[in-house]
Amino acid sequence: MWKNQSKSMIVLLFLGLILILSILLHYSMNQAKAKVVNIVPTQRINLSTETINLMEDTLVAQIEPETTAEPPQPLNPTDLLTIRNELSRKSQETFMQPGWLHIQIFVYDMVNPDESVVVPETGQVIANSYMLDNWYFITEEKKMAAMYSKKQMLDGTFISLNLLSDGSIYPSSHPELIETATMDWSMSMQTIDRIISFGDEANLTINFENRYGIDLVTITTIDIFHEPIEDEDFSSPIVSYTGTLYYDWNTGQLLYDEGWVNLADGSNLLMNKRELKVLSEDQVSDEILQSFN
Amino acid sequence: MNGITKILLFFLFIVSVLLVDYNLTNASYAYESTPGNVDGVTVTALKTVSTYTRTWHATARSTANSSINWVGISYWTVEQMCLDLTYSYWNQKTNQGNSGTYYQDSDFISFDDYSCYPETFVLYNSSKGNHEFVGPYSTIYIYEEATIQNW
Repeated sequence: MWKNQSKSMIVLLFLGLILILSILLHYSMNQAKAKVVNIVPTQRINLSTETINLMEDTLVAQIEPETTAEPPQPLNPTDLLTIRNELSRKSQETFMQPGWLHIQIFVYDMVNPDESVVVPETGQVIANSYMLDNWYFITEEKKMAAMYSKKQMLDGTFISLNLLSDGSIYPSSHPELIETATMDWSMSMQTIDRIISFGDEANLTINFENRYGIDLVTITTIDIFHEPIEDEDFSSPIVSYTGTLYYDWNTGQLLYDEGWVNLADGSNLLMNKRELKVLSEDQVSDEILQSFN
Repeated sequence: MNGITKILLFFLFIVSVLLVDYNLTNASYAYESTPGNVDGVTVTALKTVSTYTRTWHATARSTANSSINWVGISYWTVEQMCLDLTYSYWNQKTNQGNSGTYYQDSDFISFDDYSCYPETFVLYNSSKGNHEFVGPYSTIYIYEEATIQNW
């Protein structure tokens, strides 16, 4: 009997030890994951001089040496839902002001930048790189009443025009789409919503930092693929994709977005980038006004 | 079941949970396959679509149990449709393949590169089209489609 009991004790102790080791290993792996993820945005920013140039152009800010000052973190939220709601609120307050609002969104495909296709059944042109020239009319009640969105290639070639109007000022055009419109679409809130919906699988990192005098919040996610993806556009299979959104924390504006593919051979390639500019305009062109009539 | 077995099972359960937790993501995934037969050789047509936080990708795979004259696709369309029924991504390949037992092609896309018009959103992501299998005496085509509905 004593023999059996001591055998059981040994087995129990052994299992307990392995369990404790498993938990410790799991904990340390998660710590390691967090560390790696935290490094990624800095690496990406340092890797891309184009990013810095674009940021400089976009932000039209005074260029200063990269500051090492650490912003006070406790004041900044750490959960993405709160950040998303704050960005949405701030962009609403900043940009939904009476009159015309002009936003340009530049999308750059870094792999096949000049390619485009035509959908045979509709004649629709889909370009890899393009610019969206968006004009929004905001009423005194701070409600979006009309939207003009022209898509064109980066060389200016016209692709398509999309008009929305609630009918209050200009003739009605898809009023159901603009009835509840806010700044959320322009500021890519749907992208953040998507990230939130993926939970832990988003491999999320949030950073608050000050660059060029601007308080930025960066939202980085890593899509890790179950199997490396073989795509003819890349020399080696794609293991993961790291995307980072850069927001102005004070205005809620999306400034810049970039996506890197991480390949099986260990290399990283900038796959795409997106830049958003909010322009101050004194008046809207006749072309835009006439398009609503 | 004695005590030790129970403890062992509990231990295995805990380890499994930890491993699953540590392991990789379980993104949205659509997988559709259809078997067929060409001149006595079993063939399979497979389409997949996987969506992640910022990207999605589609595959088309044609396989045969033993080598045949041609295994591939006669056409394969990868598309992203928006709520306003316009395409924000569309790509088609035709007449791709090889002799043997296996052919696969993939398309990898960023959501934000091909966004819908302002105030509209993605309705679905789809991978669809005809697979082509050519044996010594006959040819068969199998249509297959995998789609992820977002609304």
